[in-house]
Amino acid sequence: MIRLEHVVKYYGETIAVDDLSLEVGEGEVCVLIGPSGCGKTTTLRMINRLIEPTSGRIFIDGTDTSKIKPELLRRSIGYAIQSVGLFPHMTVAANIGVVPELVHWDKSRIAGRIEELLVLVGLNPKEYAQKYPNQLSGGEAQRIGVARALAADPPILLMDEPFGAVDPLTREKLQAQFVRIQQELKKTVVLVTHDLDEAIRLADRIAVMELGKIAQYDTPEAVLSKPVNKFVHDFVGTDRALKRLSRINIQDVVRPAPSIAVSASLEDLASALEGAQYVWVVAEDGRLMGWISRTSLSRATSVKQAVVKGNVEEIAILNTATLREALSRMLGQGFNSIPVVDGNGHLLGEVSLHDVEARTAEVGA
Amino acid sequence: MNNQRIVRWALLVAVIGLFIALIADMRLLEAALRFFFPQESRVLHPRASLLLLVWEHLQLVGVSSGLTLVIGLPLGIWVTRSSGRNFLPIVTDLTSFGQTFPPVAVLALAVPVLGFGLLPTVFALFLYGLLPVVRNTVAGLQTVPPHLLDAAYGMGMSRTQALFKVEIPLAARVILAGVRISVVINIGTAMVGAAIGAGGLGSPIIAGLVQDNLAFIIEGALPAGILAVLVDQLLAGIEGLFAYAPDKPIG
Amino acid sequence: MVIFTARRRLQNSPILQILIAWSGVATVGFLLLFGRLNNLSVVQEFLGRQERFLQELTNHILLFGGSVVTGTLLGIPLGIWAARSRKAEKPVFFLANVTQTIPSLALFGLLIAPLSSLSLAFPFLRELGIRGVGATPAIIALIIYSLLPIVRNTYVSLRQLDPGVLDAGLGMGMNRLQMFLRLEAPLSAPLVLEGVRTASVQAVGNTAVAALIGAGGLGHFIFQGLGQAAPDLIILGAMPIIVLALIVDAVMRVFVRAATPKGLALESR
Repeated sequence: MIRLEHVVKYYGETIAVDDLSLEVGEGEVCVLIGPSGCGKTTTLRMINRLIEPTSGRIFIDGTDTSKIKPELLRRSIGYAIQSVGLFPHMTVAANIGVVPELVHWDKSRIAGRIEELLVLVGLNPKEYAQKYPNQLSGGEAQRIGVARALAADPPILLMDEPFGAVDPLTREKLQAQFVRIQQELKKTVVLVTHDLDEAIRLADRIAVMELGKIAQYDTPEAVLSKPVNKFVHDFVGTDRALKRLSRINIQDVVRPAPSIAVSASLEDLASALEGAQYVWVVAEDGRLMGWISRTSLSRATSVKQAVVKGNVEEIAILNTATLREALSRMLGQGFNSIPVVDGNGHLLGEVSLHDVEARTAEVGA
Repeated sequence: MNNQRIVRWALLVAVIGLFIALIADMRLLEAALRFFFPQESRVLHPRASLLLLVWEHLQLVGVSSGLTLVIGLPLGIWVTRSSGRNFLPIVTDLTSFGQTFPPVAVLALAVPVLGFGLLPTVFALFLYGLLPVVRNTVAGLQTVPPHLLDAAYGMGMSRTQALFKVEIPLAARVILAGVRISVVINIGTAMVGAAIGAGGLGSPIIAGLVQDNLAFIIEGALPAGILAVLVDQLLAGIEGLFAYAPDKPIG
Repeated sequence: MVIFTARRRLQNSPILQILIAWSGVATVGFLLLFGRLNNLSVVQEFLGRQERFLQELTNHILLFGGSVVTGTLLGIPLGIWAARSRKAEKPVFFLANVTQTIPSLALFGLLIAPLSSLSLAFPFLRELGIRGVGATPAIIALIIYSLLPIVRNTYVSLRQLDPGVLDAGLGMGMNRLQMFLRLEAPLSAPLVLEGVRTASVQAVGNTAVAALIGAGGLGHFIFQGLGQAAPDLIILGAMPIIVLALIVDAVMRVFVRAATPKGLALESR
């Protein structure tokens, strides 16, 4: 879908991009990553001709981009930048509507699209459409930046550190949202980041760049497990195994877990604890309440009395999280298993250290 | 517009209405002046009614400011585009150099060249009024954050589209401030224009000075002061319409 | 044009800048001195009125100089007050802004009437030379005009002060006076002096108008020339005013530079 052929960019005497060739397939997310000055942003901006290559050619869907007028090219490519760049004098709706207007969609279609996109990025259209950028939080602004980039339904999306300017917590949510949106829309995405974890989480393929060249261009798993040279090896860091775990979602690993209702009888408790060290206890509304261990069975007068209560946020993990977080929580709390809940706190199952070990072995050395 | 703004605008419109009523009907003014200056045989400058004087004054300022805008805005825009960039330093230097010139001197120097009356006055007002307009247009356009322009071009706006949809709206407030400064200064300089035969609110004042008639002086000075303040407030209000961020405190 | 481009290149050396800018003026000056331009009718006019010219020049300088100095002495405390007191802020700026918009001739005019009646009512004022027309209303108006730039710049410079600086000073054990003298004053000096510069250049121009109400000054020649339709007289008045304004501007810029502590980055224009 996007093909760069022997692209070179000189700034005076300095070479920024050195004979780079790259191909991104349709519907793929390609992440460009590398240290400062490696040429990743330059490469990105050559795709939509904000920067012109010194030599080499770039093809989109078989067409040489240098043959199209730059403005027209860019209207068919979504562009989201770190500083978001929302126009302060326009409402959120007007901002999103800029490109559709440039390509002459009719008003009702634009209005519908604005609503659709706000919902897609998780913001209530009634509330947000007429707001001004200075009334938005960082996370909201970035989401609207993405919505704006998607407005005219371009097949390609270029993103330059799109989640960089927010705090880590918000960034995580935004990344999760991106993954969800991408699964739905299947755009061809080229994304630049300096955050390796982000790259690993979002990419179908990662291009690790150094000094204007691509050192390795492969799937995240491959880059992590088979770094091609010392640079890539050092760049991805020595905790590669752990990093791989962040590619695995808990919902793919979760197993059903033994649990009983708080209203259950002592007999049910006893039979549930047969062959198990502990059992999870669920409240009347279905939310996870806590656990009862085998050792307290003998002293138990009722399930309600015996249960060791715990705060759902503290003892459980959401099923949207990654295996890596699960591992981190288990190690931090000193347990070898952790219950998995959904957004309402209902118990879905559990994950144990044993599962982590098994998965790590599966992915390969 | 929030309530505070609506109140301000309503007040402004009311005062402007009052002002127009007062100058149109001079009896109140005449009575007041007679009260304060019983010794004068005449209290109102005979050459023209106050309404006409105000109108003359407004014409002077209006025509010269109009010319200033027609020439100054495009000049300021051109000098910040790639085609005119070479001229930016010269234009910047000239405008800041020119602003040190006292406007009265510029007006006076126009006379040997252009004679008396309306022509030198309008010309001097136009020329001097260019300076704040050009300077503020340049400054306003230059302070548009570059990352917004990057976003605009990246989305597919052409240079012209970005200029009109992004740069100018964002620079509007600063540009309007320059227009405001220009107009207010011109109202002041036009007063002196009466001395070279251009008419306007300066003429009763000068007549009063010559004939030692205080009432004449007030007839010119009071409306002039009020006019200047009202125009200033009006333009400030228009400027405020272009605020996209909460208003910053004075200063 | 040459002067402008040369000036640009020498941004870093103010002395050299000023020298080059004035080379043009100096040439004219030399020519004048050596009688080369004697044939110019302007110069004829000048030679015919040398004494009067010098007198009016002195008047002009006294008028604008005196009022700017007074304006500074009044304006800085006002600015400090406005910066420190929330209550004072709005009224001070409102008044200063409104008075600034009033045309100079109008303000002169508005002051003449009350001053006239005052001097009629209190004869001792007449003794002092305070009358309705003449220098008195001019000086009062000029002082009022110089207030806004000075008050505003004083206010902004104090408000812009990094509170961390004052905090550090307090932590080091400085008292209020020391903080003011060693921290606030030197750090706000450049901006305040810029305000004085603006006020001074403005005052040179407003003083020219003051001649109309009998205050004297170089404007006298302008209006006399206008009345007599004598262009040389007009130029005799207008040119020196412009030169004076330029000199005042240049001198004040040097002051501003001198007052800028080395560590502060200030825009060159």
